[in-house]
Amino acid sequence: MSFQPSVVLVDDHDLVRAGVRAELGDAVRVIGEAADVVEAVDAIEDRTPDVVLLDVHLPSGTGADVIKAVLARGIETKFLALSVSDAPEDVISVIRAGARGYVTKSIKGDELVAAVIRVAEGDAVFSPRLAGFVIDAFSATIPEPTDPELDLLSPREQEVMRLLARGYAYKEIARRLTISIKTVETHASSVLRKLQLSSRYELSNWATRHRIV
Amino acid sequence: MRDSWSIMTSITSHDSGSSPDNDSTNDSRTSFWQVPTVRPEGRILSGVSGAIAAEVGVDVLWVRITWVALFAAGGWGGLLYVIVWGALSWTGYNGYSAPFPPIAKGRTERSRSLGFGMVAVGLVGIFASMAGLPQSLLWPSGVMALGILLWWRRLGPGAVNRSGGRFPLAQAVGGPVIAAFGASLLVFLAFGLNSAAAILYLVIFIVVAGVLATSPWWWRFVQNLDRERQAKVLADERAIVAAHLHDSVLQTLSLIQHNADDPQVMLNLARRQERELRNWLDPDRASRLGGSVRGHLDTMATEIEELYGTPVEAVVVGDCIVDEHLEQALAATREAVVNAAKHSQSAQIDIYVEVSFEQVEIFVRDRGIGFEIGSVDNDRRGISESIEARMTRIGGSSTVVSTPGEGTEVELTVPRTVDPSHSVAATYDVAPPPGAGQQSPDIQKGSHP
Repeated sequence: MSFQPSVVLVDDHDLVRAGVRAELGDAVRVIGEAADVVEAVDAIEDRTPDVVLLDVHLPSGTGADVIKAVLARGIETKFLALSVSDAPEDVISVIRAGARGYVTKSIKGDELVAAVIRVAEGDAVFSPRLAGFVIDAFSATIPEPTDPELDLLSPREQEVMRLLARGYAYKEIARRLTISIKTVETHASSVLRKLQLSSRYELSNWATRHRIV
Repeated sequence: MRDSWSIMTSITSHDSGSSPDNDSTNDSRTSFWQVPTVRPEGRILSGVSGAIAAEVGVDVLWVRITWVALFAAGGWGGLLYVIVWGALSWTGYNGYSAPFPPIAKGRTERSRSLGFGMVAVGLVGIFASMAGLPQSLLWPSGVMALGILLWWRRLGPGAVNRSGGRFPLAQAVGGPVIAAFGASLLVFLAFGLNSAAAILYLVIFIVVAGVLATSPWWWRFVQNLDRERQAKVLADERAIVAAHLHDSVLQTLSLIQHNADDPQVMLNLARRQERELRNWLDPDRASRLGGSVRGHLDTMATEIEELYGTPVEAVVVGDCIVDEHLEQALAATREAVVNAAKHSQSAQIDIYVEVSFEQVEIFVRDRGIGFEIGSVDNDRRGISESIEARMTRIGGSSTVVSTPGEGTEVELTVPRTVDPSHSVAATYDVAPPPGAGQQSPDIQKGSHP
């Protein structure tokens, strides 16, 4: 892996940033760090990294706020959410704001590096948990999808998501379904797009629905 | 100043939904009224007319003409003037009303003048009708109004933190004393005159004065009550959180300190605490507390992590109550996970459970050393059989897929019980995922070596 993406770390805890920096090692270039929303937007605008590793909860706002502010300024960068929280509403809100993936802080160093590179190359990153959320959110039947292209997953996409939820890596999924890794990546990206653009009630009202149920 | 002004305007423009950055000609701001402050520049008497004219956005001449008409209408206009004078001086004095540049109250000068003219004519009419009241009530009313104004100035919203000044006692009691003096003068004169109109007027005046005079106090009282209630809610919440943190996190932290020389124990404690805290923070946790699949898996994962030190991640899609069949399936799941934890040498074990209307699918996967299905030792065959036997008993099925060097996956499928009285699908919002139940054949053949 000669490609060395540049990364800005956004997290309000110095210890976490130091830890993530150590985990990333030499595989990526960390070109900036920030501890809150304003600092993050400034740093991203200033350095234009390939990937922003973004905490979901910041002292002055959320990761989603950072993404919205950066996108509004027309800066070309990609976001990978990195959080201790695996609450559905946190995951869904940051993904819908535009993050290309979501991993929890318990992720191993080499997996994190792989995820950063994958996001830098424009692909989506699904943790098993995120894949589980997607299946759950898209499985509730809706009377009339406003846009079937966006509101439903294709059978193949469901299959890919279920394997991701079972803990399979892209490579393993490709082998299992006898398709190319590129095709698996295409399916994952397409699911991510649906996750961001679909008007499904479940996606915007995760927390509410879960409290009612 | 600039900032606070834009905040104010953004608040007032909120109703019409326009952006706060619009320029000052925006119609939405015409709703923004403020109490003006007397304008010393270009004044004739006190600057009251100039202040009103600037706030409304009409020529000051019209305001002055109105005052003259009010004076002429029987002398009560003079009292009104004094009250307005007091009020407008006081607003500027204690910062109650921020002296923002006034905003025109209407699209055109003509509409403003027309509106003002109508109000002026109405006021003159009211005061002209009051001309029939005995003039002798005028001065005591004025004294009373002055007293109330002074009182307000002491207690008004902007004056809460103001300290005594040079004559604190005089300032504190001056207003009430003057107001009481005016009121008693009024009562004496009204009863002395013995006219029905005067008594009616007196009653109305005293009631209004009483409300006006005590309103700052009531205002503060209500605010304090609210603040106290909020503080109590906060304190209660903090107590609940503190109690929980004491029982859980602090205890775990002290346990970790005691076990600093045993990394495995530390790791287990940390994992257990993490899981426990997540459940507590998760609003969904109610469903874990009952006999749900999620709850069972959580407990199972924690137990196995503690026994074998291997992290177990469980992802559950959908949920339902665990009946006897599912209990068996979960026991089989446990066997599979324990098996993986004991033998696979995998760094992590993933459990994925999908609950649909027709069935529950459970996948236990490790990325450990794997094994040849045909060449298992007795111990492992025994476990595999106990899983298979269990699943067959409850009408389910099990598949074990293993590749040496890559890992093992155990797949368990159990049909949901169809008895409608036991069906939980109605109480849990679980719909079958499209495609669930029609397991695609390539998953079965999958990664056999």
